Amino acid sequence: MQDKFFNSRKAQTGTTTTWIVATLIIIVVLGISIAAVNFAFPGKKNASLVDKEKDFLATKSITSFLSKKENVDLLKSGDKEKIELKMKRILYDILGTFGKNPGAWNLELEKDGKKTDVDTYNVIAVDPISGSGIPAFETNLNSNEIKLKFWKECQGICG
Amino acid sequence: MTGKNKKGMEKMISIYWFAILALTAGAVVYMVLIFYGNPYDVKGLESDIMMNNVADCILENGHLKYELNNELKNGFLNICHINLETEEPEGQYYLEIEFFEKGFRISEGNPNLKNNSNKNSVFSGSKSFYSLDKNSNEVTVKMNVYINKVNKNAG
Repeated sequence: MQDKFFNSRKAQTGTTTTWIVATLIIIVVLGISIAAVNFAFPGKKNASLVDKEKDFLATKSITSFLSKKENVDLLKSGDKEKIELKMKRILYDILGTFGKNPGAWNLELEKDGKKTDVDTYNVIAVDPISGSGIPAFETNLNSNEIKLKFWKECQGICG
Repeated sequence: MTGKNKKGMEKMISIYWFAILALTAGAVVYMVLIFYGNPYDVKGLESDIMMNNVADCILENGHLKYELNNELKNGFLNICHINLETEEPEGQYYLEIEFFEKGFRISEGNPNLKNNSNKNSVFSGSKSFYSLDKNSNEVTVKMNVYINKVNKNAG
């Protein structure tokens, strides 16, 4: 009789412990979920243009740049240093790419089938699998002799 | 005696289940509120659109489309079809365009926003682009946009 009494109490303690542990698990899971939501959405939500990689002002700038005969002649000359200096002024000083955006502008010049990397500007976005940069914004301009490739590298986080 | 205990136990479990249900529902509602409760801040988007429209208006084939004179300065909004009017009586926008090499400046809207002491409430955006004048001289154009609209956007 006494044994029965003790067994019954043991069973009750076990059941209570199960409920308490279950409650704690539920509270912990909910707490983690709330903390995660708070972390992911800390404040106001910013709306932005759907495709940030297509920079309208950059395209306008490079179009203006190529509208000047001296600039086109400079590109045709293939003088890497002078082209770099000129492009840096547009990309860094005017468009403010340097140190601001996670993406980066790149310029490649192709003359008589020979490619010349003019410069790689602050490349941050890199394909995690292949390790190479990902061209996300690209403008190809062709003339009779040269091909200028101008693109921005980023992974959907261009500012 | 045993039957009564069983009934009591069932009642306890029911109360417990309701408590857990309320807790879970409360947490879900709280998480949804965190996500949807915060308004969207579209001031950055407005600023980008305005600056893109300005650039599109004043540039044609890489060159500045208009002469930089008082006619452009005074009628800029009409020429570029930009409307800065809002429901609020005081202007909610301020647009400033500087043509650096020419020493020319156009400003439209409420200039008080630029010198507003409450920097957190007024959004400011700035972008530049490269252009050429009619004689193919280089002109750097810088645009500054200030947007208030605190009541309609997240502050």
